[in-house]
Amino acid sequence: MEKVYHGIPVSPGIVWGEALVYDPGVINIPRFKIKNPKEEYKRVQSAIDITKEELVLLYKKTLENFGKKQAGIFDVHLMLLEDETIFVELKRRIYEELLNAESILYDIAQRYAKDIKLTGNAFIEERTADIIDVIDRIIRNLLEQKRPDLDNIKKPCILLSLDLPPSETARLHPDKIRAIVLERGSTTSHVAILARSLKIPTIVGVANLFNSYTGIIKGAAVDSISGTLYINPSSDTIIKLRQKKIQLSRRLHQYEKRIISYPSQTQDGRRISVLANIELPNEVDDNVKHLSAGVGLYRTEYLFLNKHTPPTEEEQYNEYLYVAKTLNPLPVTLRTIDIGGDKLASYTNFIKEQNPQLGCRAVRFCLAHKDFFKTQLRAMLRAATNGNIKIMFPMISSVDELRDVKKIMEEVKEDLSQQKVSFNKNPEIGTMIEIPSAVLISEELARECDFFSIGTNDLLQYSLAVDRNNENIAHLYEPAHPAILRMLKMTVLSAKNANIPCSICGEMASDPLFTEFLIGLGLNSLSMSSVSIPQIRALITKINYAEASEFSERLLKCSSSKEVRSMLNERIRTKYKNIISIA
Amino acid sequence: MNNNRTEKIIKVVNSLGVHARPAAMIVRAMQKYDAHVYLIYNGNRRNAKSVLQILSLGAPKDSEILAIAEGKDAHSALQELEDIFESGFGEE
Repeated sequence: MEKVYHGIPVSPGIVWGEALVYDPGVINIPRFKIKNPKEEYKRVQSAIDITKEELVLLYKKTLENFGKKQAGIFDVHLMLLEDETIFVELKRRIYEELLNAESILYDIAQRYAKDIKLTGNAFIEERTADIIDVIDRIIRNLLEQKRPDLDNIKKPCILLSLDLPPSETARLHPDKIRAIVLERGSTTSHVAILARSLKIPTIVGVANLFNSYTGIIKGAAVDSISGTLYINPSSDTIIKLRQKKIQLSRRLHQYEKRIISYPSQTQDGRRISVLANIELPNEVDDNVKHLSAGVGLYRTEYLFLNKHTPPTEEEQYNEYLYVAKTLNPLPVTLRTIDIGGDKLASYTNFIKEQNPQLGCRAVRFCLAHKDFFKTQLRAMLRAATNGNIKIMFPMISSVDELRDVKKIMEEVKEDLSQQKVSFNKNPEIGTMIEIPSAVLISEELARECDFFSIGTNDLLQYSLAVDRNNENIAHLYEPAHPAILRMLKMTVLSAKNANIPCSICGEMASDPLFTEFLIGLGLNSLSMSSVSIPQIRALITKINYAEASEFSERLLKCSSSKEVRSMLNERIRTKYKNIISIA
Repeated sequence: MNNNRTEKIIKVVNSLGVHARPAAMIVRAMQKYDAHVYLIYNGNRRNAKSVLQILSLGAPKDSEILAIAEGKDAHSALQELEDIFESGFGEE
């Protein structure tokens, strides 16, 4: 029976064949009293020597196969292995506490990882993985439980795992690893970054995967355009994927090469800006630099997550500045944080909410925590003296709220002037349209800001009253719902009447099924994850704006999502044969 | 015994801050000296000859670190340390 899993696609491609479940094995750390500390220390020293040999060998192999840059990680690991801090403490505790080496090493690793997390620097925080990785090696050598070696993979395969430690990640070879699917990981994790540069199709964040399988899986398929993993795919699925893959390989590479030299416009010359959604500065990759018209949505909340203290104004300023400078003169739209108090609980007085999606999140949270909000606005306004920064506010539900937010911004500007700190006095200010009430008063909102950006994901959830993570009702989360299409129309019209630009930044913007409709509505700015940019840009060159407007009008008259879907599918089948829907 | 003591404020200029690779560079350079070298940031004092300890400083771009060296070659140790930081650890 075919089984389907969904995750976050982080490196695009389509692959099927045999899969291997890479299981480094959970090691149980034994904890026991020892009698002879001298013997115990000797035991650990020989484990360290073995580990050193392993790492030297890995360094050499990696240097040979991948070059100096990737081998560098083992250099760092070797230094950690020689770090006096670890071994002075280890020796002392073996003698004083008469505890076994494994349990002390484990304690040390956990403590340092925790300390480093407390420093609150995202880049350095990621490096705790290295410390845990090295100590895991020593412990495994003490227990004589070797980690299975990825180098031993003889046949090319799809790799499924819980997560990959940095030293394994550094040795992924595209000839052997055809695709990677992980239960953990994020778009910004090491694996994701490396997989993109090695062009290995990769999906991360696939829930409930790892414990369900072991060993070799004869049949598996990965579609990391849509983020889907198939276990025992049916022949229908393979046929579909094969088609998609042929189209993809034929088109995508041409696209990337060709698109750079083509302006992003429809057949009849209407300019469309295709922008990127990012979460972290290091997501500004080649697609963003060369194929996008800038960043349409910079989700700044990543900087605030999993921290014990909020990021300082300087830290924020530096991140925003980096992106603005790198992409200058392209625009970068910073969105103020869009998370709830629950995610910031470690440094605010957070009261647990019954219904966080309808709770104190985004601008509501910011208006309730003015100092916190002002720090972010200061960093943004200061960074905006460089490049082309715009600022937008999420979850605006009323004109009053927009005015409150703008008032705080004016206060921040006044403070900055008084303190003689240089900042941009008039960056463009935008409103996210993602709550139904905002759609209904979009005429009024449009008169009080410089641009709109429609967030379709939240707009869908709030309009249709559907939590897409609830399996029982996930099917009701339907972007093709006539109500959604009409709300988009209404928002675009309000923006047009007020003569302000309107863009769209939810998932609908990256689904080719909707591209012609969105352009036909009059939207001329679409923001999406960088992976989708080449395909959408290629599709745009095939669209005729006049025809698209007429098509949109017809679609808006449909009375059910079924009708909308069938019209969309029919259109893409007949008019845009080579384009693949991600849905 | 010649017990020199030198202090210097050193600024982090590379955009990623003092992460693993820079930490390794610092340690490799400082191990050549007899002097004890410490880095103080955010009220924490760390040994500049330990990758682990340097990492746990968590010093981001633009942070200012107080470096202290004690020992007969303290002066040259801090000079080299400053050069390494100024070079941005060979990053941007």
